[in-house]
Amino acid sequence: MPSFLSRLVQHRLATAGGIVLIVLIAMALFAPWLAPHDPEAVHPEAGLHGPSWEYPLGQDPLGRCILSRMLYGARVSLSVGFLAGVLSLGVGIVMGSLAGYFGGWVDLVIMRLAEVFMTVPQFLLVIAAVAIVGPSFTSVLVIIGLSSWTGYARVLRGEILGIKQKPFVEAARAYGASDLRILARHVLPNCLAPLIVMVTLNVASVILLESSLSFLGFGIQEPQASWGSILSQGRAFFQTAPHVATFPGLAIMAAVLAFNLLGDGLRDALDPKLVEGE
Amino acid sequence: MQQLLSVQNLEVSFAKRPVLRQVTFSLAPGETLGIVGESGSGKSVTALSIMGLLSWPGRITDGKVLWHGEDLLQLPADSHRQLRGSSMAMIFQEPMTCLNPVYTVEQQIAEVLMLHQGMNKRQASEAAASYLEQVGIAEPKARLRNFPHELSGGMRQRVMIAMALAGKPELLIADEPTTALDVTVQAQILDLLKRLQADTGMAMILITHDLGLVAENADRGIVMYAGEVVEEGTVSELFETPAHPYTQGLLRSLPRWGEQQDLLYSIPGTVPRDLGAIAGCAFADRCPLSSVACREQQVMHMLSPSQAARCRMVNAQVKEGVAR
Repeated sequence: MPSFLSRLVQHRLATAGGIVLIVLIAMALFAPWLAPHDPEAVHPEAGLHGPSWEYPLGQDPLGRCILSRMLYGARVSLSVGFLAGVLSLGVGIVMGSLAGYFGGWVDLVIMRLAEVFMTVPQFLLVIAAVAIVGPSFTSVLVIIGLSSWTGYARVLRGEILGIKQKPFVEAARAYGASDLRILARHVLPNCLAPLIVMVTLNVASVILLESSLSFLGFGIQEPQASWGSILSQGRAFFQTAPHVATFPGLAIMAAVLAFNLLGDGLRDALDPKLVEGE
Repeated sequence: MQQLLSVQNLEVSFAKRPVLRQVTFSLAPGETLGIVGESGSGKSVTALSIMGLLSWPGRITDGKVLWHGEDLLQLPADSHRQLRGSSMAMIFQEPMTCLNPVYTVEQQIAEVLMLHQGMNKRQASEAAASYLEQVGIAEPKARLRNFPHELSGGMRQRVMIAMALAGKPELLIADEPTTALDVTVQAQILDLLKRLQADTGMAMILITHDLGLVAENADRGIVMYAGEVVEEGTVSELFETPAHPYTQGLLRSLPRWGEQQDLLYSIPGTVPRDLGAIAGCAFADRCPLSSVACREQQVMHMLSPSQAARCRMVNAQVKEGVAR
């Protein structure tokens, strides 16, 4: 494992992505100490003021400090992104493994279920589910997590179909490893590289999805902030007060880019076959 | 002597097409049995059936596989699995891909030790080096940390053998263990297998299409053709007094040392595709001696206590074969 870390560090762009993520996570963790103002304190008379010494990133339509709201919003955006990403990865791994490894009717049922999920646009599905359960941090997280497993399951199933034909899987059967052991120890580790890249993309898209939900009022509720809700508030004033939409937009872009760079580096670092070329 | 393994009238079909018919042979503890035959003759399917590794659409339709007198085909799948790797181990043709690319040599040997010798992770890691030493790998401690892609083909096959040994098997099935290796490495691997057999007393089934390997390494051999055992005997019987026309044809096809030959002999015709359509001798279409009677079901004719051939013409053949 140390060699894995050193290979990851050697990957310059991945390191850059990792640093950006660490900074964003630190901002989220230490928001109460870093925020210059109360993120919910309203100053209607100072609405849409641009950046100043007192309000480094300016003020939103209600005069709230955008920097403070973004610091607190990072907590919401990042944790929804991570947790929903991990949840859907977990569901996807279970479903994809069962379908790919055991095949037969298990495969048939799971893949048809995945196709049913994919015929309904995810955004509509999420809105409908949130409308039933009611919008809150937890419901948004769980619903997004449970609705985006299909990509993982399909990619993993395909990988497993290829890997389970490999001679080393048969060799493992020949020395008496059980199905569960073969799946967990021999098949899955050989299939993870594309999933890791998918997680990073997925976390990024979950952050965007949560932003869109918040924009429509189905996501994080006022006065709580997320990057998406700040951005959507700013959209209406983009020509007169561009700072409101720009800064949360940059934050989303930085997070998404950082996740992608890190995923790319992880993929290279986790692949023992690529070490050969060094 | 109590037989270690006895295969009786084993029949296997792939999606209702028969691929093994009435395969019968046995193996004593410590003995080496060579199984010779061309591609598709059912050598590997026989091995997989013994190991319980036959997978869909392959299915055993009839027969018994007795292991110490107990029928493996009646065992629950999980009990058969526990025998694999501990009582019976198998090494394969492709050493390049039989090792898992994401684990080090140490982790892979240790896994077998943990599965079959009840060791914990630390004990297994410590013991792994001694197995590498046993299979003749230099600097075993350093090699343990290598990933499979860092090893040569011969080294990987040695690692596979070390993993097979780690379960302390009574039977090692080697399915074309040297086909993918170059000739000098082949000889080393076979010497190694012989030495290990002498050290541990395990029996071995050597599956190959190379008659030379059987001549040099096996005690007895069986010749398979189109899913049937066509001849069985000690190695000297098979090579000196082959009785079945197919065995004779195979031996004639070998290049001879010191003999000027422009064109090697080959048996005319090809292996029949659909065994289900053949009632009698599968070799009849290519056989110089075939007659109408060969189209009926054939049985094994004993030629000596250890030699038998599935050929009607066998009595006449023996005389001719000896005279040759």
